[in-house]
Amino acid sequence: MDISIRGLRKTFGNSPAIHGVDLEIRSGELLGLLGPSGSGKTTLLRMIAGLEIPSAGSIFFGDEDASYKSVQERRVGFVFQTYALFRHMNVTDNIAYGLRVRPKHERPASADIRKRVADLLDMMQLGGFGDRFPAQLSGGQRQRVALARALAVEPRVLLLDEPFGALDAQVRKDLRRWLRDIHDRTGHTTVFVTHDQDEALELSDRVAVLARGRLEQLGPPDEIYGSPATPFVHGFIGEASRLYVEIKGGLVRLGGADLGLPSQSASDGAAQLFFRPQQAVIENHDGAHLRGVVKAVRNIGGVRRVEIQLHDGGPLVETECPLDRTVAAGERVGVRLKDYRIFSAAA
Amino acid sequence: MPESVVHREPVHRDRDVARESRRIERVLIGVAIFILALFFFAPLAAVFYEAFRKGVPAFWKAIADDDTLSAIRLTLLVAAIAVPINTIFGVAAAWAIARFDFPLKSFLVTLIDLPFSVSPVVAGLSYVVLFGSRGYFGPWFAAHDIPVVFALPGIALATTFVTFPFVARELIPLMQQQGVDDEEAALTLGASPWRMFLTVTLPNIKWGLLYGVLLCNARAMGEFGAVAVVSGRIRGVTNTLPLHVEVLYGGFDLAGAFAVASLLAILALVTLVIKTALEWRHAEELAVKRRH
Repeated sequence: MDISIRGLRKTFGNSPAIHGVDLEIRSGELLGLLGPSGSGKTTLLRMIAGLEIPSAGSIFFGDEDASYKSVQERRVGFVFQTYALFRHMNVTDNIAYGLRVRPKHERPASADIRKRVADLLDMMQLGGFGDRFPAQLSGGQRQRVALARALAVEPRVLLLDEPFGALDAQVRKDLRRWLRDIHDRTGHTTVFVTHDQDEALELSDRVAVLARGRLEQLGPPDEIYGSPATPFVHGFIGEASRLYVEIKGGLVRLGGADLGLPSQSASDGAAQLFFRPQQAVIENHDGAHLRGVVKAVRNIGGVRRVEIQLHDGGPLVETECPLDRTVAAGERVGVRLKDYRIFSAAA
Repeated sequence: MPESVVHREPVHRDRDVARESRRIERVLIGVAIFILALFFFAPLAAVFYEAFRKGVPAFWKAIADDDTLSAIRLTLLVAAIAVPINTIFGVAAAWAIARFDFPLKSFLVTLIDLPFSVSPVVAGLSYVVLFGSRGYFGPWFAAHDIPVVFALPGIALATTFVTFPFVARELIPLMQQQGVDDEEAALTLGASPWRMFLTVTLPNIKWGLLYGVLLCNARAMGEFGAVAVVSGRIRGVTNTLPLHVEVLYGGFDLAGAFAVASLLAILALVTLVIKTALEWRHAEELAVKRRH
């Protein structure tokens, strides 16, 4: 089911949570909504579900305008961050809930419900857990029950709010792979919210990055990481050093000095220059673009990260440095940028 | 080794502190038990002692008295009216307060507490002013032959007012703490709001609700002040159990007064036992405030 979100806004009291978001979700894709807390990602997800009413704009499910349809009419599968399992029902009854509450003429026969629950338990590797109560399950198992319960109603779209938020690191990794696998097998259009960029980049077909209620960038993970569209995305996704520079006549100037770097067609005026640690090397010869003093050296498995302060009280930047090159705190070094990205302040 | 010398002293002092605090603990517990015995157990024992002093037959005779039986019937009837009304209102109010934001919400919360803060006598008097024969609405009800004051409707009204907060007070923190996720999950799965309420909300709050109903019932049966004003204390007609106790006592029928009082004491004990059992078995699902 394609989902088309047009000019969506949401205001809580006086504080806007979503300021005009346009987003096309493609049928069958796994879309990650990524953003820091307060970016409005959960509000957006809840509006798709019908748990929040938009202040303006519309949401289409295929050709059908679902903007003001009730939650029940939208038939979405929603997995809550807390899982929200019904604690007084066992796993089987939890999963069957959505089928049993249907009006009589739409309700499957109880034998069919049993069959469907058994299939889902099987798919979720929860065979034999049907009689347990939520309190008797581990976090990962509860998460799978919540997903099974959402899938039982054959939702038109599957929505997951921070699906791995409450789990420890190892379980998270396993479940991530497993969710991808479930998605590929069932082919549901799936939207999940996360604040964890690794999760979003690893799991999604496309990632939508949100900040302060606005969509910053939408694209495949490689594109989000490789060519960030805005300073926010560059700073938020992956690691990057940021310098506030000035562009003048096609030259990049930092504190009045020319860095000797092309300005990448940025217009004259204030700008931000970003580079990732692996895009910079330590170089003491004439090729250096930046100079500074090494503040700290950290080993992060196979490579070292070097933190360099450009001048007293000046900005800190980070580069990578191979293990075979000696570098010590307090040493004066030069930095050469192999690649970087400039965003004009106006843009 | 100089270090051990340095370390020894604090260790000793810790032990002294521990011994000291154990002593204080014992003293405090002793004082608490003494006060409880003096102010709670002794009066309770006295009630039962007085009730049975002239033997079980005398006790039964006092209970089987027509006026006493009428008071028992009236008390049960009033509780049967007030408790269900307050259960429904309490659940509705708690739901509205825990689930929705609306103007004057904090005012409503304050209003729910009003019956706790206002003297029951004042509550009773206000009903007399409203529904009494010279009250604002009294003549209208009299003209339509509906007795309010000095009759069952007035007693039920006053009791309902006084016991209103119990269920709502119990449920508001519980529902706030449980949050809306379970209910929203039910809605996304296609449940109608009513179905959601029956299959998700109600099971989640059932122990807290039962606890609130229990306290509400105990108070409904034991209420004196408000009921005393509106009932008119007509023996055998508008006397509830607590009023009847007072009437008997005022008439120097001590054996009868204590026999009837022992019924109320039994009610209190049963309430206490059920309450403790609920707290013990379902502490997790009762309101947050008692968890610590």
